[in-house]
Amino acid sequence: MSTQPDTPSHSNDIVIQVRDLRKSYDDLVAVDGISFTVHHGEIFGMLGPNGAGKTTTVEILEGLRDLDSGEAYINGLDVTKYSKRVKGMIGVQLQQNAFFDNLNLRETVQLFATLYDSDVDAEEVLAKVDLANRAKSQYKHLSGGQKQRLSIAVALVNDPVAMFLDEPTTGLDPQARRNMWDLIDGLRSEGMAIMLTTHYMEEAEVLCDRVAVIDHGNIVANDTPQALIDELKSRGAESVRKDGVLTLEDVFIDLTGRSLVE
Amino acid sequence: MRIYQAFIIAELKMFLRDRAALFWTLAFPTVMMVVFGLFNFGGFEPPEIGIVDNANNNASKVLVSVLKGEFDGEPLFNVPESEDEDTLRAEILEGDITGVMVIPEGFGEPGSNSVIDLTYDGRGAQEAEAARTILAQVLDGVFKTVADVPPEYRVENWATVSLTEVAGRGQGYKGFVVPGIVSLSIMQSALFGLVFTLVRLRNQGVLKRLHATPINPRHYLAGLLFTRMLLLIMQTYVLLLVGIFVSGVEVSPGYAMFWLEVIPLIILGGFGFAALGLAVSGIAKTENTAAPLANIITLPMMFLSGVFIPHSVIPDWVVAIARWLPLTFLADAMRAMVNSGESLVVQGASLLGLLVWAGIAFALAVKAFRWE
Repeated sequence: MSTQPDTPSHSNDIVIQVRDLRKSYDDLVAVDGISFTVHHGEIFGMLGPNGAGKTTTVEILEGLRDLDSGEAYINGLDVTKYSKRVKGMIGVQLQQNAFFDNLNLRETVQLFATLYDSDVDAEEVLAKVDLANRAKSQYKHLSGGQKQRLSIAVALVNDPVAMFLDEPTTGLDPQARRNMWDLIDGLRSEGMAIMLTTHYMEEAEVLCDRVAVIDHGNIVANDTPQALIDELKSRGAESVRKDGVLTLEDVFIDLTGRSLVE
Repeated sequence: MRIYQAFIIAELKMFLRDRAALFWTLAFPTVMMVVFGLFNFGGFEPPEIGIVDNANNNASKVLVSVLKGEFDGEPLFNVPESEDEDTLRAEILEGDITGVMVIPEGFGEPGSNSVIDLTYDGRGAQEAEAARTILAQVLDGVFKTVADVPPEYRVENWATVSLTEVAGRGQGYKGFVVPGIVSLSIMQSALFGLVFTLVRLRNQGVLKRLHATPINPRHYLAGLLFTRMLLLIMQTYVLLLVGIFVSGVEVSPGYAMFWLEVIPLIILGGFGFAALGLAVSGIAKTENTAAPLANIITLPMMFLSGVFIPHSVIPDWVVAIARWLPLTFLADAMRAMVNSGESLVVQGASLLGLLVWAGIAFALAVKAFRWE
């Protein structure tokens, strides 16, 4: 399957737009000319093996890295030219997210609200992610799931138009993962454009309206999870599962190969 | 402005909640101060005694030579250059030397019963007592055999030592080591504090998360540095109080303005070392490389900047280099202010030295700073 550029019928809905993005580190090509769009109220999943270029792409959009060539816009603003303004209107959950150990949750949310020049009510934001009862706990005393929820709370302080979630459920137990899914699903219903990277195909199937599979810096597929599974089925592929049901995982392996990425 | 404020408040809260860091910031230098006070490394040095030779005869010349160690190379007294009685007495009052001995006219001549006057600073009673003992031994033993005194004129007590105590400003080794350790603590706290805070936050990813907000590095670093300076001022006050009440040192005698004037000195010195810490944290990738790097910078200064080892016992060529180190500038100014009650405004050379170092360190820090 070739890269399929989006042709949105209602293009004023576009929040994130990326065109022919390229980025290399010395000799290593991390992102090799990718294009995609993410719309209001949409969860866009980016799947790919380690080192495929997911995090680089996300971090360019977040204003954390420069791009070599191509264009990237959020709400029509060029992320390289207006990186401060763009940072101010997006919500960010980094892959290795961490906050100050000795600040409690209310203080953390308040501090970040100030950094985003927002006067949102910390308690309210914490309540959104079900952490109101831990407002006075210090960050270092939180569980893994609670830390991830706090990072969502902090990402919400500026009422963002787009939310970037880089592996939000890695390392969480099934309960905490389901809890996080509910939370992310809730954000979509508020109209945010959400860009999510994950290694969990089940997560992408449950949450994502559309997924892009990225391999060696290229998008090798970009469609709804069901369409990708149907396409695979039409080619007569077999599932790894005993019941023979094809999943997104089969699509992923089919597209990115079986060899291990070290 | 709100952002600076928010960071300062957050940093203060974090530091005060970090009990372990708070404890070590104060406990380590306090212990060091007390321990070095007990060791009295200064006691290994010959006492600083000026000599006024009013006799200027064979006998007195031999005595002076023995004391200066001109026979076997081991000086018994550390003798200043001046031989003028008034100048030397003034130096006692200033605390620069421990005492002055005056050899009377006709010393050692047949039939004389000379009295050598040893005037000493009451604060240096230990050193003066050491000096008196040395002098008595020299007179008693070595001198009798060396000097040209005919045996028939040798009588017991042909020369005696009389002691006169005056109130000078000398504080002995304690007075030397307390401002030294106060300065050392400013360096350690500023440099290590920033290195470990920043390396940890960077490895945890906290700095990267801050980088994802619309702030500039200066917003965060200004808050961090400002808080650090407040803590350094607090730490210095506490250590000086320990010096007063535990070590018994008089801080800045007769000059109460010291307690205000020391603040700009702490900030200037502390800023330079904090900036150096910032640079180290940028260069070092992990805590494992940061610690040795910080130690390579601080350890030589600890021993060469005249903190607890006086420059007088270090080879001259080493001192020629060591006098340009930032900690030397800080310790010199601190010592002049603490010991002699000098004002900050006359520490021009040290302040200029610190300013240049702060500039160099800041430029390095700006170059080396990394969010991730």
